[in-house]
Amino acid sequence: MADDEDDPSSREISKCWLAMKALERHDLDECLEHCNAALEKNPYDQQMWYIKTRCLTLKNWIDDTELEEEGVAEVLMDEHATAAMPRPGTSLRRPGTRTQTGMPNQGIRPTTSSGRPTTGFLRPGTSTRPMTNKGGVEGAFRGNRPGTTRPVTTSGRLVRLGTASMLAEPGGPFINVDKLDLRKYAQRPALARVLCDYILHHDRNPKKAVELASLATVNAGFDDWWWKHRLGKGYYQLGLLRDAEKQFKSSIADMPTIDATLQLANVYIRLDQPASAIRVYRAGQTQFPGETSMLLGEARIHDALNDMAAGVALYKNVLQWDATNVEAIACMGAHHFYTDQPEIALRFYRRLLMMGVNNTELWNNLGLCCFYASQYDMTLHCFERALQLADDDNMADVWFNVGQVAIGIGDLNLAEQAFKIAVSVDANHSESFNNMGVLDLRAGKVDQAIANFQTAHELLEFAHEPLYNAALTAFKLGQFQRAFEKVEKALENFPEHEDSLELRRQLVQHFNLL
Amino acid sequence: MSVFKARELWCSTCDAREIFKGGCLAIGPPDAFNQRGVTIFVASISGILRVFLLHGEGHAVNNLILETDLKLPVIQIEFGLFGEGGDEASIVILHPHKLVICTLQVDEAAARDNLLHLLPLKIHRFKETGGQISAYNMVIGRFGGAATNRICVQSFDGKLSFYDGEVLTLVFRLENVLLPGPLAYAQQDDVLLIASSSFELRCYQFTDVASRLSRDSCQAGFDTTRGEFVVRQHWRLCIGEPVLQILPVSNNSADTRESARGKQSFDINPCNDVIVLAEKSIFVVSISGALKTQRRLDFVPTACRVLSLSLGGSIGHFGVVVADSTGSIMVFRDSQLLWTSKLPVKPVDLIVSYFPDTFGHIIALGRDAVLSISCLGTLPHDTSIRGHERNEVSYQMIDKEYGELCSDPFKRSSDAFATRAQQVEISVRFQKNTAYDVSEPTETHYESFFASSNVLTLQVSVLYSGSGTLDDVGVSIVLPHPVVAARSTYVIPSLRGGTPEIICIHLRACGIRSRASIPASNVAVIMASYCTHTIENSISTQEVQLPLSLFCVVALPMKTAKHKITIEINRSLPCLMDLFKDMIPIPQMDDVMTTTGNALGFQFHNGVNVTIVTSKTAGRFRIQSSDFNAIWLLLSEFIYRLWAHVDLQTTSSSMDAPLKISLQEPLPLQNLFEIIEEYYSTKLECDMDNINISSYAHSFRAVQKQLLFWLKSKYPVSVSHLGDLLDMIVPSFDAVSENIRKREKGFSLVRQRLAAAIQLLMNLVQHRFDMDVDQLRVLRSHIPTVSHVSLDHGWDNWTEAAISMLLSNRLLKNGATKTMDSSLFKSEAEQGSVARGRKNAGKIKKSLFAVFELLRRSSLQ
Repeated sequence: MADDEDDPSSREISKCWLAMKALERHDLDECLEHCNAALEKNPYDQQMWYIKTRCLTLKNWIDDTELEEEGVAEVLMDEHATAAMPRPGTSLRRPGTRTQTGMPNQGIRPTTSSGRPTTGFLRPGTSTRPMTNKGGVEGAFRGNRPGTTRPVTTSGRLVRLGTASMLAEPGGPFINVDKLDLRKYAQRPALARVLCDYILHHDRNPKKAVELASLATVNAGFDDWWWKHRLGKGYYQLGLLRDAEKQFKSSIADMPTIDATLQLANVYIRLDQPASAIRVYRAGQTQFPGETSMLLGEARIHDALNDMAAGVALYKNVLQWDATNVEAIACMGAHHFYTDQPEIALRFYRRLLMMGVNNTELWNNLGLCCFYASQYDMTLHCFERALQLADDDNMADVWFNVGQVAIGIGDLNLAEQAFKIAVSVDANHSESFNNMGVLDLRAGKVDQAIANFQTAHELLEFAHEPLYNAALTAFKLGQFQRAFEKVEKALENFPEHEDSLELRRQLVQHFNLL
Repeated sequence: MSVFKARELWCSTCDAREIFKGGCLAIGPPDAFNQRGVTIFVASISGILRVFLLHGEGHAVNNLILETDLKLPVIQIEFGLFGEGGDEASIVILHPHKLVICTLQVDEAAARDNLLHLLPLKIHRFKETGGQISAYNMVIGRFGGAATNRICVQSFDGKLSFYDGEVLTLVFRLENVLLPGPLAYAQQDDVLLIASSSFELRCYQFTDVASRLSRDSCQAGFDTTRGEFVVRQHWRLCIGEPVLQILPVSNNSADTRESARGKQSFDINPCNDVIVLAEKSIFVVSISGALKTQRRLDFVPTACRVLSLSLGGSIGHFGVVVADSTGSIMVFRDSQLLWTSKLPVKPVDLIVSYFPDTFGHIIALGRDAVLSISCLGTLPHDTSIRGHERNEVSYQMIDKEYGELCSDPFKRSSDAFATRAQQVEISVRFQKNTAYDVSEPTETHYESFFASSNVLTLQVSVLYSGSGTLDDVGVSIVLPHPVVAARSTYVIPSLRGGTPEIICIHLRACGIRSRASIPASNVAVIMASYCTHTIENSISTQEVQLPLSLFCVVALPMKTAKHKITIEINRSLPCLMDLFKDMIPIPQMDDVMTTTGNALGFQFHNGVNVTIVTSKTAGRFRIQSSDFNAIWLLLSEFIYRLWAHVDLQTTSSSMDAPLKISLQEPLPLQNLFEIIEEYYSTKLECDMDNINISSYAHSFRAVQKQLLFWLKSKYPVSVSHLGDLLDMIVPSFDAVSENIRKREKGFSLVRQRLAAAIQLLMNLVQHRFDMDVDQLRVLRSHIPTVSHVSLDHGWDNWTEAAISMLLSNRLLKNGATKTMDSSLFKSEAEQGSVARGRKNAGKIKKSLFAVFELLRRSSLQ
């Protein structure tokens, strides 16, 4: 032992070993330090190159199985339309066409700006994606938040992310993909795999990734599922959905994996084929029982199709497999809340709170549940907490709910103030405009109320409330023609709305008398 | 997810400067190395090895049995049983360039202290086998069905070296290795599982490899330990992700590391699967190389272990414990999440241990160098959860207690008595203080009205009747004008119960002589504020009537006077000298005695004289003075002393009829009304001044506004006219404010006089209408003497409201006089409505007149 203690070389620990261990523990900065030190000495050190590539990929890795936002080009120049005819219940573009029984209708459960009923969980691309071209170019350009626009294409945004990550690196990009001889790399499986992931997740250059993957898959004799999966990924990012579908299917045929299944379903969702997506998810569920991501994926499609009952059954199933799934708990809470069971919803939200979720939305929901469950002492505390945590994105919603509660307790002044704050925070908050209109109407400010209803309608075209309110106001003012127009529009948005039907009946009666 | 927290049973902190990575933690079976307990080995990259011996739950001083510096970085540490019979417990330590197998032995030199030291049994240096190569990891197993445990070391160049003890038995190189990966050995199928850098899981059948190697070497004459042979894998499976850990699950182990322990046996059904923990998923792969199932992980896993589960009493189920980078651990079974819990540390390595008497403890080594043993969020099995003990309400007991309380009134109210008894009592005593130094500092512009003999000492005795001690008892005294004390507040730092504390307060009359007026009251109020343990912030109050000597001195009687009050009594009056004996100083005694027998004069500090003249025969006395207000103090004092004198006499001989004092002549209302009018007129002037000053303030604001306006204007103009305006306003403003100051002084004097007049009137009313004390108290409360300072809400507002209420509530409800009363009241009310809005004394005069008229009529009845 004494010899070793004296020999300093024996005390040295391999940089490579340290870098690998750091990578395992996700100490990415430490790993990069070791790699950079080693690569400075020997730039051709393949082991270190491998580790550094993995490290950089991991740093910029985003879970791409979640559906991302669609670009303007995808919305406007949608070439994947399978049928121009309306497909009731089988298209994500017309969520309202699904017939449903026993579930809360649009009158009780509010809709998002894309016209689908709100779910309990905010997911990428599902809350604000305009699924129809109804809004035209203007609607297609409108982004998630006021004042922002969506990217021209999805890959456009990814390219920007890629260039941003290159800029962030000192000394320029680590790998210049354009200068690489991909054929050479394709023959070395270990390096090719990490390089492909690097191009996809770090450089965000799906074109090059597809090039490498196609070379590699030829090299592997077309029987490596991994390369097919990456090929599909690249095609998907390039918007070549049919090619992507082919590759994913081939990959699954070689070896079923969760990632490929989820991606294939995403392809179908992008193609607006929810039934096919559900079929893929179900096949995946038989292959991987208890895989919550597939159950959730299917549930999301049911939600998007306005088929709440099926969605809720799936969320329950998810919770049986994974009792800590935040999305399922939140959706169950929302479902119980909108089916008039605030006490049960409260239990779900409390569970979330116990699990350590602490955000504005949760406190807001807790406040609402407390209010409707008659626990008034807790309500305002919850809203206070929600406002403490709120930022510009969600503060308007909290103030809107404070206003709702104020209306519930009869404090109309507070309600009006709350709605005004909501509108001041988010100038596009349609619901607040609508409610302000109703309050104005009560106060006798008819012109202001009509203006508010009009604003609310412009901001949220799918909502029927501003239209019905405007129609009722016009009816009371004796402007029957205007009232008829408005009520017709309201019924277009929500055909089963009883009050609108009643108003239209009265109007028709009037017209007949005239 | 923080629904539950793992229950920490034991923890120990190593040096935080050391670095720990995966593979730095190992556990020995119970009673290894002849030690009673479970041994845990922790080695850091810095080369420090620590051995902990745990006997059971809880900390002990001797838990850490060995801490030694190996002077070389430690890559991995394992426990293994070696030797022929498999009973040689050893620790295998993998350094970058060296493999050391050692054991723990009791130090012979310190055997008495049971000290251990590390004894290296076998050492193997890698550099001897060819150049400077570095080891990556190792695995222990009976490769190829060998009788004893052997060690397989994987090096960075992709070579696998097999050691039997210190003898290198076999070396071969894996194909297509860029970087080494996790390594595992499945004993049952005799396969080596290695994760490659191309995201693949590779399987090597050991027997195949060994036989092929030996065959080839026999043919070629190669040394099998050179490592020149490249072997092909048995099967390979593309996992698609970087692999972190491989765990073979076999029939005789729940953990690969425990397979080496041998002694530990668990009745688990054969289940030849391999659990592969990858970066984003966890896979179950059959030993034949088929992917059985997969689960995506939405967290960053760091370590995982197989846990044998006892479900529904049956054994034979596997669970996988996965720890993530935030310190949470998840227990999965067939991709179902069974349990999640938060560990106190963020683990880099994890072992599920089986202690002799308990099961399923999780030993975690945190990245912050904390070694912790926890169980999954529940209490140990031996503590059963008992039912909630409810406190039932027994109504019978309540009834019984209530009955007892009702039957014993003393007990019932004992608490109240106790509370009441715990009070601070104040008692006072006056003492004529001749030795008092008049020059004791008071406010400098004050002058003493009388000689030093008129200085009195008020001895205030403060007694706490409760037990214990009160802290910081504050005593304050409120004195009527013109009596002053050197200090108005005193603090007793600590007041013990039962022991009185005496405070001496020196009182004397002093002030500015030009502003002196007849005193409006002769009562001083002493307050003690304190805080008891039970009652918070209490106050005890005591009112003291101040002696006459503080207000006036004996002087020669005056024969003529403007105002006279004659009071009759039903018996002969005592001698004035006897009544006012204490007032007459000894040097003047003779003069007073010689001048008068039945008359005595008093002089107030402002020079007003009051004379008392008694008529012994007619049974009446007269008090006369040039000032109407000055009479009240002498009148009340005289009657007070008379009562005292009569009481003294009646105690000696109770033959006479009770003393009756009466006033036959009409009430001197006219004098009172004059003062009231004066009060009103002064108040009106004050109001006018205030209106004036507010109009000037308005002018100031107007000027200010103009200035601000022109300041911001683009085209400024001359503002000299504003200067002229200000020049005009300021002198007038000064004059008015000076006027207000003067009037306020005058107004306070008028208030004093009014108070004195009312005092006199109340005295007279009492004797005129023969009112008892309660009636007088009611009347006094409605016609107060205390005048409020505020101009907006003064004595007039209060009295007007109070008299109106008195008339409507009390006097008008008096049966017989109702008709007449209401008429009186009506006329007054009508006039009041006319005069509303003006500050007019008419209304209050009418009201007062009505009150006294009603009293007169009711007294006649």
